[in-house]
Amino acid sequence: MERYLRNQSTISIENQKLLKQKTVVVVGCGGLGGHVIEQCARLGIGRIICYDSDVFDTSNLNRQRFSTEDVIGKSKAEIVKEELNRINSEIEVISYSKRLDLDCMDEVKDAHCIVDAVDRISTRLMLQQLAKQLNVPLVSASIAGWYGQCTVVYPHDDTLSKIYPSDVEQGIETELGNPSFTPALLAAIETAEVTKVLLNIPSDLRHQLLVVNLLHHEYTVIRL
Amino acid sequence: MKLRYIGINPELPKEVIVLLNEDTVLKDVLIATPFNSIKKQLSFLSGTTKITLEDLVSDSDDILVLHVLGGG
Repeated sequence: MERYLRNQSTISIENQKLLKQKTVVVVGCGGLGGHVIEQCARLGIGRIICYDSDVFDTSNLNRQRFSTEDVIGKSKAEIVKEELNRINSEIEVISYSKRLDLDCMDEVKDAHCIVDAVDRISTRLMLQQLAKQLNVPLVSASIAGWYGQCTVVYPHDDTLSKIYPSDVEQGIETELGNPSFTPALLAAIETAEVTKVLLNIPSDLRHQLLVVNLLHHEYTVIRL
Repeated sequence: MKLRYIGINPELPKEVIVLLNEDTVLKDVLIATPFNSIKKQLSFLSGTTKITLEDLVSDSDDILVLHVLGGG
């Protein structure tokens, strides 16, 4: 347990053992997902299943945790698995170089939590449906420029349906882009919420949306 | 007139989400528009500007306006 010595006091030995028994599905291995996956591995979550159909390209280098110049053109999912094995060989990592959809139910049926780290609104809404069918919580975040938001969706909450239109694929990120710091912060917030979900600690972000404005350091929680 | 912009630059003409308190008298006005939902997610206004939003609402401090954030 020396590996997790600095987790202690925040995460008890009992809870650390509990995390080892948990499975988290992270959908998207890019800006948010790369940081979430790394933090889940360092935290000691026993099994991480990740999905991404994409390969790394040069425009990812400004923010994506596992993007380096030598992996341009390589599968994000495969690189993530390689890197996680170097970070924590005591956990199991399963990676799929494909999109997660409702036909993948069998691959994720043992999940205790799903993490939304995707960049398409229709995919987010699909993940909400998938999580509902699996009867597990969904931790969701999104980013654009200096701004980000995060919420925790329990089955039947349908929170994402309250904050996303069904006929729009992308938001203001198409104009504002995504710098390095915003995904890192929102990914940390997502991982904290994943930890609460897995350890049965009530989340303040259920039925609520945390909106972060890094330009002026406004952190607003909105009841939904 | 009190519109509260959360985490956005209101000068950006872009799709926004309008969150409306359930008790506000403006509920019926916004629900009458072709936007879905009940309590909060009342509209996704394409090309909305501050002026357009102000046309929709009257005195209230319960109108929250957010950008649609979709990056991951």
